[in-house]
Amino acid sequence: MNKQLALDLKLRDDATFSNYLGGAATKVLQADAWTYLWGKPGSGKTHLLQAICHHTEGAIYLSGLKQHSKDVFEGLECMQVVCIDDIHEVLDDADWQEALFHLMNAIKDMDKRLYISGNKPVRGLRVGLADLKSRLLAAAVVETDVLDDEQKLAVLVQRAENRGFRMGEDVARFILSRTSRDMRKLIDVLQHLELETLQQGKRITIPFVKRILNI
Amino acid sequence: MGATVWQKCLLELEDELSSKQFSTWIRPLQAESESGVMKLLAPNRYIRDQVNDQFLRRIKEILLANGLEQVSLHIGTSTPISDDANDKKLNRPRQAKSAKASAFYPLLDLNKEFTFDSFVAGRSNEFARAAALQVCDNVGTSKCLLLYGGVGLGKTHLMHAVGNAIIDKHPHLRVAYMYSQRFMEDMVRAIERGAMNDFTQYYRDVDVLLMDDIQFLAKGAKSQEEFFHVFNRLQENGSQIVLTCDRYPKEIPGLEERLKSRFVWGMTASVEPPDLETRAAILIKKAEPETINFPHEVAFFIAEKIRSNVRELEGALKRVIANANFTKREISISQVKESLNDLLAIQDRQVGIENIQKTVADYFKIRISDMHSKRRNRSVARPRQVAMALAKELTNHSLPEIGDSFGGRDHTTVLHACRKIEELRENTRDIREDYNNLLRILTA
Repeated sequence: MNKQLALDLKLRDDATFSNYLGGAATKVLQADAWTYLWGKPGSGKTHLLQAICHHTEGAIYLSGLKQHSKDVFEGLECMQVVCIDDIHEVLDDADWQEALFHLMNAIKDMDKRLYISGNKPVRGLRVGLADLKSRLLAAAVVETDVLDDEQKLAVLVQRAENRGFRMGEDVARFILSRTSRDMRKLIDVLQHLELETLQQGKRITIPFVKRILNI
Repeated sequence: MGATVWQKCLLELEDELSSKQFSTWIRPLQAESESGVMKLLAPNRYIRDQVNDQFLRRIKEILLANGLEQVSLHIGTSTPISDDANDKKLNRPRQAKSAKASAFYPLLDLNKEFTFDSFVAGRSNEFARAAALQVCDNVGTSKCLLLYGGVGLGKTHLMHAVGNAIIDKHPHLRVAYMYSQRFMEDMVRAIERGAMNDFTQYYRDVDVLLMDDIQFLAKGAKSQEEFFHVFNRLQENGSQIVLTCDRYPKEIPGLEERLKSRFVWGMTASVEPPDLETRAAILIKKAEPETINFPHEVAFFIAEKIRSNVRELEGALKRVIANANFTKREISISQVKESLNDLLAIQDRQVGIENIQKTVADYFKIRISDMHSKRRNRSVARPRQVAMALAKELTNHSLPEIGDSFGGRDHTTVLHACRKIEELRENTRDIREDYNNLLRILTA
C-alpha cells in the first residue's frame, strides 16, 4: 500500500470538556451542522476541538493542514463529526477555499457536523471565494475564552492535581509571573516539570522550579 | 457467505473494542467478497490508515479463521450509501444497480426543508420563483431552468423547492441532486476507464436532475466537450434539468462558448439580493419556528446592518437566538449588538504592546521613547504604568516580556505597576476614566 504522509490524529488525554474553564464548552455542544470557533492563541480552540472528539463517537480531529494537500478532505463527510484546527493557515490558497466549500456542502447534505477553528472572526479572514465566505458567516460562532490570571492559576493547580502531583498556589503564581502567560506554553512548562519531578523524585517547590527552568 | 462472515467479524470486534473505537473506525467499513477473497472498503484515508495500523491484523485473523482466503483493505465505497440513513430524507431515487455504477458518487437527497412555503418571496426573486413553479407544472416538457445570482440568495433553496414540489405531485418520478463538481469528477473517471455508457446509464435513471454551482465546471477545461454531449443526451432523454450558477453563464471565465450558450438556451432567471423589507421578512419567517419573542424592530435592525446575502442574515439570526438562549435574556437591540459585536464592528485589530505604548503616549501627550526611558517623574511614570497594566490585560505576554518591552525593566516592576494602577482605578476618578478611555480606544 503506498503510504501517504501520515496525519497526526492523536488527541491529548487532558483535552476534555471537564478540563475546560469557560462558557465556550457549553456553546460548542449546542452548535449546528457548521460551527466556527475563534479566539486568541492559547484561548483553547484546540482543547475544545479535541474535547469534542473525546466526547463523540465517530469524530475525527485534523490539524497542520499546511503540510498536506487539499485531498485530505476527501471522504471526510462519512465521519459523524469532523474537527479542523487552524483553518487560517491554508485559507489564502484558492484551492483550499474551494475544497473547504465542497466539504461544507457535503457535510451538511449528509447530516453530519463540522467544527472549524480560526484565529479571527470570519469577517477578518481573507476568503476570496464568496460561496465559502457566506457559508462561514452562516455557521454558528463560538468565541473561545481568554482566561484571566486567577483562572490560569486555577487551571495550573487543577491540571497538576489531575496528573497526580501537588503544586501549591504559590508555586503556580511564581510560574505564571516568571515564565509565560500563554496557556499553551504554561501547559508545556507543567509537563516539563512533571517529568523532572518524576525522574528526580522531588516535590515541586519554588527553588525546584527555578532550578529546572533556569530562572 | 462473505456477508455472514463479515457480520460475525463485526460482532466479535464489537465485543473486543470500545464502542467509540468500533463506531468510529469499524462501522464505516464495507465488505465485498468473491470466492474466498474479501475486499474491505474504507470511505476515506483516515479510516483506512487507522484500520490498517490498529485493527487489520485482528480482522484478518477472524476472517481467515472463518474460511476466507484473502483479505485486503482499500479506499472506496461499494453500493451507494444505503437507504438506512435518514428518515427525514425520503424519496431517494432508485440507484442504478450495475456493479460498475457503484464507481460513481451516490446521488444526493433533497433537503426537505427547502420548499416553496419556506421561501420568502420578494421583488428581488419573484421572477425566479415564478419560473421555478412553472417547471413543477410542466415536468419533462419544460426546458432546462437555470437560476443564477450571487451567493446566499436562495438559488439552492429554490432548486430543492422545485424537486420537493415535483415529488409531492408525482411520487413515482425520481429526483436527484448533485454537485456539478462531483458530476464532472465521475464523468472524467468514466472517460478514463472507457465506461461512459455506464455513466450516462446511471443518470438516465433520473427523471429530474438538480445540479448546483455549475460555475465550477469551468475548471475542467478538457472535459467540457464531453459534458456538453452528456448534457444533450440527458435532455433528449426527457430528463428535466435545473441548474444554479453564481453568475450569468456567459460571464464564467474558462467555460466553453458552446456550453455557455447551451446553458442559457432554456429558461434563465436571476435571483437578486433582497431589499430591506424582504430581508426583515426573511428574518421574521426564520425566527417563527423558534419559541422566542423576536420583535420586528430587531428584525429591521439586523436587516439594516447585514445587507450582503440571506445566508449571512440567517447566520446572524442563529447567533442572536443562541445568545438569547444561552444568556437567558430577551431578544432586543442591545442584546443583538452584543451577540453580533464582531460582525457589526470589525474588531479585528490586533492589540500588541507597541500599539498600546503608542496609543498611551499619544493619549497623555508624551513621547513614545518615554515608555522605554529611565525617567521616573510622575508625568511619564504614570502613563508608563498605565501602559504596562493595559499590556497585561490586553495581551498574552508574560510579565518578563512586558518588562523587556518597557526598556528592559524587571517583571516585578510590571507587577508593581499593575497593582498600583488597579488601586488607583478604584480610588481615583481621573485614572479610572483615562484607563477606560484607553481600553475603549484599543479594543474599538
